[in-house]
Amino acid sequence: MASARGVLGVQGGGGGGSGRFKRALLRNLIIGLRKGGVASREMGFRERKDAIKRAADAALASARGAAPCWSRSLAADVVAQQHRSSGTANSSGECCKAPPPSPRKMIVCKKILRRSLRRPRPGNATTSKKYGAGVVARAMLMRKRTSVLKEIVPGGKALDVCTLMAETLDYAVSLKAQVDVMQLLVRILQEQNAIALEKQ
Amino acid sequence: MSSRRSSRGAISDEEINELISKLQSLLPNSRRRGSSQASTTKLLKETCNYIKSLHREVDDLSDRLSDLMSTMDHNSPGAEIVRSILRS
Repeated sequence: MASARGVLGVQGGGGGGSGRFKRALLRNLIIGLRKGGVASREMGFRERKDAIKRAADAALASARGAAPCWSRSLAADVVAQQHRSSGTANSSGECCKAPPPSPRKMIVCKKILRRSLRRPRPGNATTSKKYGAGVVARAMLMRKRTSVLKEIVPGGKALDVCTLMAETLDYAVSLKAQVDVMQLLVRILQEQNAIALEKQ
Repeated sequence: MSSRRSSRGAISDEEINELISKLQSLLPNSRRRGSSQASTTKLLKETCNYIKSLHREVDDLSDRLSDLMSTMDHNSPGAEIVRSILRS
């Protein structure tokens, strides 16, 4: 997977993405917020909050770039929402149509499945030798978990399991960076408000 | 940057384990209980919960930002900070 190099590229230092990624995020977020006109007094609370979330998602996707599938899918979602809120009808097609899993990928997905099944349960050493209801139950559990993950990760539905794992990792790291940057922005604004109040 | 894909399209067992252990170490309350390998299903479940909790945090932070922005004064020092960030 040539995209894997880009997918794992965001993990710089520490949890939550590299410093450069976060700076780009913060810059994109501020630009996006100003473009969204969120500081205007006429906006209602709900409208402003939606605009903020949209700006945050757009900032995240554009800072991350087009390498991971979730980033492209998120960017498409943001555009679709903007069209919806502005009333213009625009059919944004699927941007993450992954090709049907090649035979090699099917083998790898089975590897992941087998890995979860092979692990011996603590206290019962003979489980791995038996093929019974327990194994089937775990396979179903795996499928259920991966399907939940597919709902959560943007664009995950079109992905096979092994790509989904890499995408999930990248997405989780990037999301954490987004949370950190938004927390920073909240602190900046809180302090600014406090200073403004003191001056009055 | 630790991508060590052997060849285009081929993923080895080692790389899967690497992905899984990275996910493991990413989760906030990952404790090494003797064996360093967690059950994969448990890992997936915790990952789902982690991502969901991050979504909730983003939602909550958007609430707070919305509150703060409604009372923001355009000529305050905060605007200076914001502008200086944009210039860097």
